[in-house]
Amino acid sequence: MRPTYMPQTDVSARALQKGSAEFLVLAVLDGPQRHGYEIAQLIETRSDGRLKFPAATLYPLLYKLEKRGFVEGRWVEKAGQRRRRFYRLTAAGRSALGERRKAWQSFFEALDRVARVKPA
Amino acid sequence: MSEWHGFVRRHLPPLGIEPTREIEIVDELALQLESAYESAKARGASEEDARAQASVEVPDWAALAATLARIERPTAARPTLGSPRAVGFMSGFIQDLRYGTRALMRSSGFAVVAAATLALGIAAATIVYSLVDGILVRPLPIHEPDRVVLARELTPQGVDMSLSWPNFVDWQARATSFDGVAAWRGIPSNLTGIDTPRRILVRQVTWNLFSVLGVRPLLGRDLTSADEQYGVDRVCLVSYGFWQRELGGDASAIGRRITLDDTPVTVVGVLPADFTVARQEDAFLPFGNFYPPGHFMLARGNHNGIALIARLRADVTLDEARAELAVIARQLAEEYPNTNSGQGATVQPLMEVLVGPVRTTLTILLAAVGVMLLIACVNIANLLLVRGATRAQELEIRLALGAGRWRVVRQLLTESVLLGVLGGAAGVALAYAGFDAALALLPEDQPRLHTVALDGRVLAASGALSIATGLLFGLIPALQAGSRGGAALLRSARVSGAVGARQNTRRALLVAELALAVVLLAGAGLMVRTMGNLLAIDLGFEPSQVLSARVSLPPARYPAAARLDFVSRVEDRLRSLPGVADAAFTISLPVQGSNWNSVFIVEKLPVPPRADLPSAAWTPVTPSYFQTMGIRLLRGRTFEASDRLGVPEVAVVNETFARRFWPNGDALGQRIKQGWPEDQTPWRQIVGIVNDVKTAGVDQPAAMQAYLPMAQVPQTSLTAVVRTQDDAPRLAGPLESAILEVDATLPVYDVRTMDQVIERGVAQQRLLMVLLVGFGGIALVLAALGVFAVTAYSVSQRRHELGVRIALGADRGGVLRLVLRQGLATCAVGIAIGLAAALTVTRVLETLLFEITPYDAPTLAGITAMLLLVAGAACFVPAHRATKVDPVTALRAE
Repeated sequence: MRPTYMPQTDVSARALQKGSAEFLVLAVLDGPQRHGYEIAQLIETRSDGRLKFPAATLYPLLYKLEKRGFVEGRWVEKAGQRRRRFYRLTAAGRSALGERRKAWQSFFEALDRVARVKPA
Repeated sequence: MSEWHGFVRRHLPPLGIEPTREIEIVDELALQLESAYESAKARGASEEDARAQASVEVPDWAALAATLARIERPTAARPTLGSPRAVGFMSGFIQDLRYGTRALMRSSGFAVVAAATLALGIAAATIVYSLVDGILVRPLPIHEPDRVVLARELTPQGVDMSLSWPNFVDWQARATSFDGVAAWRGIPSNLTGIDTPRRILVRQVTWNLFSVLGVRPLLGRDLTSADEQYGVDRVCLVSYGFWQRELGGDASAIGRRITLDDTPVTVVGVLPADFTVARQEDAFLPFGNFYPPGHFMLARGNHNGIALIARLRADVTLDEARAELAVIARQLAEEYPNTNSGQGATVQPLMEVLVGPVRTTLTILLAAVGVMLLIACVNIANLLLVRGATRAQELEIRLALGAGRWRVVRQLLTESVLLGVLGGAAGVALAYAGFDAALALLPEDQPRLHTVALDGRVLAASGALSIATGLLFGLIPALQAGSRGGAALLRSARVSGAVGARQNTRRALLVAELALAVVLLAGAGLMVRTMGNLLAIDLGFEPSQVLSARVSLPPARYPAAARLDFVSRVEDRLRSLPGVADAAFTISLPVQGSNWNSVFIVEKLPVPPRADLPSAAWTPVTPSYFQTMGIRLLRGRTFEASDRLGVPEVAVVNETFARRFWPNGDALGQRIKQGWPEDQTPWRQIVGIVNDVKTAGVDQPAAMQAYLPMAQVPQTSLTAVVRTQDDAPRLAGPLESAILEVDATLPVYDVRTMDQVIERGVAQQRLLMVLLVGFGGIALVLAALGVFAVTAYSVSQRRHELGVRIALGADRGGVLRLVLRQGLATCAVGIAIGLAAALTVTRVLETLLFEITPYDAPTLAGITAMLLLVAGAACFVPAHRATKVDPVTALRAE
């Protein structure tokens, strides 16, 4: 994935986000279907503005996940609104998310034991 | 649509993916930017700040486009060079190529038709070009070939004639125009002392030939003047091919002895691999070594196949050399009036002597293949235009998405070049498949035929041609499609029912296609008529079911009596073969040209000056020759067993001979004498008159011919002829065996049916006919395809108009006539232009035509009728479809 443009975070945070970007998007989609801007907003709000997913980062990621069959997008037209593309997890996406959760979990436990950091 | 759509479209470079998917992506990005902008505004940002925050969403559009393109095209190999921006043109090209491949695969029917059309064109072009390149273009494998000339004598009538040896010696001594003067003489010889005796191509040459040509032996030494002395051990240089085949291809070959015509010959040198002049000569022997002083071959009046080969001095032109040899020939005529009076000289570049006779044929073929390829290009251009119309929407979207005009043109050109390359590859494969068949159309003794090859040179030309044709047929459609105006026009054309500029382009291309097809077909038609005329000629004998084979007796081992014994023993064996009706021997076959021409005098008639002495073909034959060949006896008798050595000599003459000297009286009983008046040849009494036989060639008038009983003039160079009861070719093996049973050391060669001999006699016309008819046939099919495509498209564009007409009460027959009339009107214009062009162009065929003029009205009328018929049929299908237009549906569609 390409380096993300994030003026408010330092290099190491950027690197961390790069490794976890797919995980973050999959996690945000665990629940109701959401459109692109919603996904970006959710990640930003939940991370207190520390993680940002501008369009240049988000869409390539979404399309890639879609190609791999982890998410599924479809166009929804609501009365009086412009059509938007909503994304939701597929079964494959759900199991991939589960695996990643486990992996990150064990990684953080290891980190904590070694470097004494508690995952949020 | 929001302003952010426009923003995204302006900034995002084309992705080169499915247009609908591209639209979706643009939509999503625009929404995202718009949302960012709106929420910034909602947070109280100024207009300017809100815009700035939105544009931060995509800091690098080119990078984003590259990433998206990579993701959206899963099969894509990732570019390995630097950033997407840096790979610029190359990645664009790869993108075009990939997109083009998919576009072609989507419309595979179109692609197959177009590529097959091209494949035929490229295959024909490849083969014809290989012939032209191998025979006409490649330089001779000698030093500065342009300066090497070949000179011969001219008879008082101005006909080419080989030099006599003493005349050659005098020309060599007196001429100052040359850096070196040599001579050669082709003399096929029997190679024996090997498993199967073979006939090989040998040249007797003066010792200095190779230094004149600027060729040095690869191995061993050149000939020396000492080798040319009569009586010294005979030596030879052999060709590279002979060295490889017969001598094992190693250095020990030098000094080896081979047996040629029963004489041992020592190999002293091997020539370079590429050295072949006219044909694939096997060995070169010194001329002078063969003949003792006083031998008849060395007589000034004996013209026996010698040609002078010389290298022009750098400061002398061909014309100056011609003038000098003409002066020398005049001097010799004064010095030796008995043999040389009236004789002149002719000098030509060696290359011209070798390939001049086929230059016209090959040039015509090259032009014809060019025309055919042009037709194929026009046809594909037309198909592309029609297809461009159906793709208009896709292209419009691409243009609207911000693709530049040049970008779309480049994309379409890439597609057509891809098509060209596909067709080219298939064409080259076809050319390989048809190569041998095409070569077989040329006479096997065609000089330089062995240099013809489908090699890198030819393939490179074919490759370039494929790309060029791709560009050629792609250019007009691409330029039209690339213009926004064009796309808009299409839309309006559909709405208004107007025919539009595209339709005019298509019609113009169709006219051009038909005109070119007429020219090709006219050429093909004329050659068909010529072949018909040639084959309908009464040759004066019955060629079917006659088989012939040649054999040469070594004179040393076969004195006169042995020759006669050989002939009668072989004849007996042949007659006893099952399926053989009769057998005979001759020295010259009809059609192939006489192997013995000589002047003669007629008893009781005044002897004309030497230069005006009559000349005839002299043909010793065995008694059964006339019956075997189906030559009719008109008066008197043919030969009998009693016509042998030691009894008064007799002759049988042909009608032309008899009529020339005795137009009213009877030739029977008159006497003639072959040779110069002073020659010690016997007087021969005419005992029979037979019908004329085409001796010099199918298209040559019959000349005077005198047959002699072979028993009175025993020969060594013989041709056996056999009339079979059924299948002549089947007897080739038994014929050969019958000869070998009598003498196993004799190579039997040129085993051919008379039909094959005749075909070889008309080989150039046949080559032209077969290929022109092939090209013409393809042109006809392509023209039909073009007419169909254009008419069908026109009908589909006019559904609305036709629907209105039908709704307003036009009867369906009227609609049919309307469409047919308009379609055929276009065709008629093309055919008319083509006829006018054909009248000019077919003149180049004139020298090859037989008993027909290039302006032959029936041929042109036939071509016109055929084309109109085909065009009519091609128009009829879509016209008929037009009558089926349902007015309600057609109107509702709008």
